[in-house]
Amino acid sequence: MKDDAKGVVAQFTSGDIDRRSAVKALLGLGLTAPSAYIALGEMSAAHAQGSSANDPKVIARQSEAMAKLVTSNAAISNIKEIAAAPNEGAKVRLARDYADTLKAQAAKTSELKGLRVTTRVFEPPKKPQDLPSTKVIAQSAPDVRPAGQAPGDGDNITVCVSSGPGGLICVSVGVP
Amino acid sequence: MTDGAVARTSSEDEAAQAAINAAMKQIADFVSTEAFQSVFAEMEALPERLRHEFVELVWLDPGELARRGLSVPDDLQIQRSFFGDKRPTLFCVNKFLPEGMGWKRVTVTYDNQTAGSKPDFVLEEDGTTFIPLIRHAYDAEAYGT
Repeated sequence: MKDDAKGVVAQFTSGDIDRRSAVKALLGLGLTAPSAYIALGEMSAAHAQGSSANDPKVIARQSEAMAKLVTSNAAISNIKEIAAAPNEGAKVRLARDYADTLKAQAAKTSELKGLRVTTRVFEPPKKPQDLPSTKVIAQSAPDVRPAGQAPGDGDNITVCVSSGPGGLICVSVGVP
Repeated sequence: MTDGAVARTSSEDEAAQAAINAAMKQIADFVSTEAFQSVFAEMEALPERLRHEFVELVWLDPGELARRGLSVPDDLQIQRSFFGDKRPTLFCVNKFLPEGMGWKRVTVTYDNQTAGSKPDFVLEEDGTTFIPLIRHAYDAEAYGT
């Protein structure tokens, strides 16, 4: 470890800087994340490992199959109809019907295992300086609604297929 | 199609499929680059409990990505998102589709493997955004949990 990195670790150890600042400083010095966390004692070198979960070929195959599914058999007409439903109850009802149709179609395609239809909320893109560190005021559960409860503003209807060990990668299309 | 759905022409269907295919291919090409794969491998070398912080400090920071030789095209976005079915999501790469496609965006999302490794989620101060809770920064006593 270079002297400047040792200096950061020393500052952290002595309590002069907090953990978050130490991680950011070490990354800023050019250390890889594993090296930074090892330096701070948060993981051992023996832990560093990789997997083949991120396989672009799988993503490409899934993308192609997904595109066929969501644009065929008037799928787009369905999704437009859902978006234009007169109220949230009708929207949910139409989305459920559509989900059943999609699942039946997906069952015929080997690339579309694990297809599901769910809601999704995207975090607005942020600049790094806006990212929170310790500014937390309330704990809450992620967005999970009881069955039948209507989606709220900002929610997406998302169709996903998953792949990789444990379903690590999801290819999806959504509205909006 | 359900009753009342607006009929589409075959050319509209083909245009929509071509647009979605093109968008998905662009994402697939991007995540296939050596630079993206390298950053992904760096994240995978971490225990799952530390990967959320890596997302915040690296994937969401264009400066850190640039330091690693990864430039995100202007029409792609790296974001976090939260699914209604509670999958242990880390981050996603997404692209908006042209208007009139019905669908609005396509996304490739990366998850942790272990559902239990998902951090607690917290509501940001403005009350509108869920953010992953980094345990090290969390003062449990202050929040009564």
